[in-house]
Order: sequence, then C-alpha cells, then structure tokens
Amino acid sequence: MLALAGSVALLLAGCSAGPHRSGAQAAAQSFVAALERGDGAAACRLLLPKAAEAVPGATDASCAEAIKSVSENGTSASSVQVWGSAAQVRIGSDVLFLQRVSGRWLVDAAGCKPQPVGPYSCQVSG
Amino acid sequence: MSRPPRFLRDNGLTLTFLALLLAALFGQSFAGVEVYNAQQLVDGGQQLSWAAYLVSSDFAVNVAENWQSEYLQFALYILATVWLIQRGSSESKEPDSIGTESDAEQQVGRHASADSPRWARVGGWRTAVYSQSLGLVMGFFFIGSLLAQSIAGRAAYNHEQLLQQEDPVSWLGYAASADFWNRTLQNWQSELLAVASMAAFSIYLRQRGSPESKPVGASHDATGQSG
Repeated sequence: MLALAGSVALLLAGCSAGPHRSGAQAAAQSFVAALERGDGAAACRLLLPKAAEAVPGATDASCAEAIKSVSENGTSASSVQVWGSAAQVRIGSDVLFLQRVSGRWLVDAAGCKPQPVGPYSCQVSG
Repeated sequence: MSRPPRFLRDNGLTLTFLALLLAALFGQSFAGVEVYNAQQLVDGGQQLSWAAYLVSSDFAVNVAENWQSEYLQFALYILATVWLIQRGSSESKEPDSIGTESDAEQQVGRHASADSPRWARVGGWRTAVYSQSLGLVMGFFFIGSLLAQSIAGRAAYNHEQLLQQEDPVSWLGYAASADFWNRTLQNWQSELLAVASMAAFSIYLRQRGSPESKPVGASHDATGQSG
C-alpha cells in the first residue's frame, strides 16, 4: 500500500503545471506587445534582472532604450509549455523563455531562434 | 529486560525497514534540496523551499528511479530462482527442484492443508493467479515506478531544458533519452550486482542466525539451506 501511494504521489509530482500556462502566456504576450508599441520601460519591467542587464547595448543606455532594438514577430502565442518554474512560449516565428519568480512570470530570453545543435540563439538572454 | 509487545516482535523486520526507509527519504529530501538549489543558482532558476522540493519533479524522479530498480531486482530474483540455481548458495533451490515443482510440494489444491491460504486450496484460476502473485505484484510495482520515473523525469528534464534555453521533449522522446537510460541503468547495475554478490558470497560465507545464510557449519556444496 505504501508503494502504491508513493507511486501515485510521484506521478502527480511529475505532472507539468497546467494552471501556470495562462500566466506565462500573458507575460510573454505583454512583453511582445510592449515592444510592438515601443514601450521599452514596460518591456524591461517584464524581464528578469539578469536578462535586463544582458540586453544588447544596455551597458551604454538604459534597458528601456536598448530593448527597442529587439524585434519580435507576431503577438499571438501558438504554443505554451510550462515545466516547473520555467516556460517556453512561441509567438510568431520567435520563441521566448520565461521563469516564474515570486509568483510572477518574467522573460528570461527573447527573440530566440533554434540552432542546429544546442540552445537557442537569443537577442536577449539572461 | 522487558519483552517488546508481540506485534513489534512478530513484525520487527518489516517495521524496522519501513522506519529506515522513512529516515532515508527524509534525509534524501534535505540533501536533494541543497543539490537542486545549488544547480538552480548556476542555471539562474528559482530555488525551492524544502516543502516545495518534496512535491517537485526532481525529488519525485530521484525517488522513483531507485524504487523501480528495487522492484525490478526482486521481480527478476523471484522469477529467476524458479528456473536458475546456484549450487552451494543459500539463495538457490536444489538442482532437483528446478521449475514450478509439483502440486504436492507446493501444497495446492487437494494437497493444501486447513490453514493454507484460501486461494491455494480452491484451485482453478484463483490458485493459478495466487501461485504467481508475488512476482506479479513486484512486477506491477516495477512497471508503476518506472512509469512514475519517466513522467517525473521528463518534467525535471524539461525544466532544465527550458532554463538552458533548449526545447522540452515529449514523453517518448524522454523515454529514449540518455538522461532516462543513464538514471535507469545506473540503478539496474547496482541491483543486479547485489543479487549476484549474494548468490555467490552465500556459498562460502556465513552469518550465524540469519535465514539468508546457510548454517555456519554447512558445507560449501550444500544448496538452499537456511540458517
């Protein structure tokens, strides 16, 4: 009985977090929408701190200015995957990676393109 | 010295190992959350409290991968010892008992006694199922915990994939992955080593008083004796 209960518990713990999909999707779409309308400050507020520091040009200009150079194609999410506190959202031809920190979804990497081998190549990456 | 209550005495082996299991799981959870959080620091992921770690896929896969190999070990051991022998080992039957043995030797059907389990007495499919019940249940828990390992392992693996900005994988993809098979085979090899070691060591070595050992004075050639 202990083994059966344990196996069920292990199965449940292994399932991906369905309720967090909408939060990750909303954060990704808000980020992309902020870039579309040129609101760099709003986009930067949706970045993880380490990602904001890694925006190209952010050492010379503020994140809000530097992030305007990041381009995203499309605003509608075509797929959302959430595993634990990490998520991947496909918007148009681009991919965003997000992390849930203190209950909020923040963008970890944006403007990502797949590579033949290894991780995505991203315009912004924390 | 006062005697322990009869229930404790009669079930001491199971109770002791259950207590050790809980203690080991408890300890594993603390060590595991430390390792997990150290890795999250490197990967830039969110660290977890101990309570959150207990229900995480990382803890689940680390437990499940060990459980499935233990149940595999016992399922294989139970089934293999029906047909395979190790001469001189306390873990083996004698050579003339290879196979499922006769109904008389197994005390089933008309050869059962009044205190035999009911399904051993009644015959038919019930006796057939009961005759395989130990292997079946061990096999069931092996399959169940292997499935749990694959599901929890996929969740833990995909979480790491996303932190490293790589694509997550399907269940089939994970079941064919190096991560799944590395976890699985590293556990299998140790279980199989344990059985092989026990079968061989028990030929020549003794542990006085243990039913897992031959009597101290039994010859090395004596097979299937218990001390």
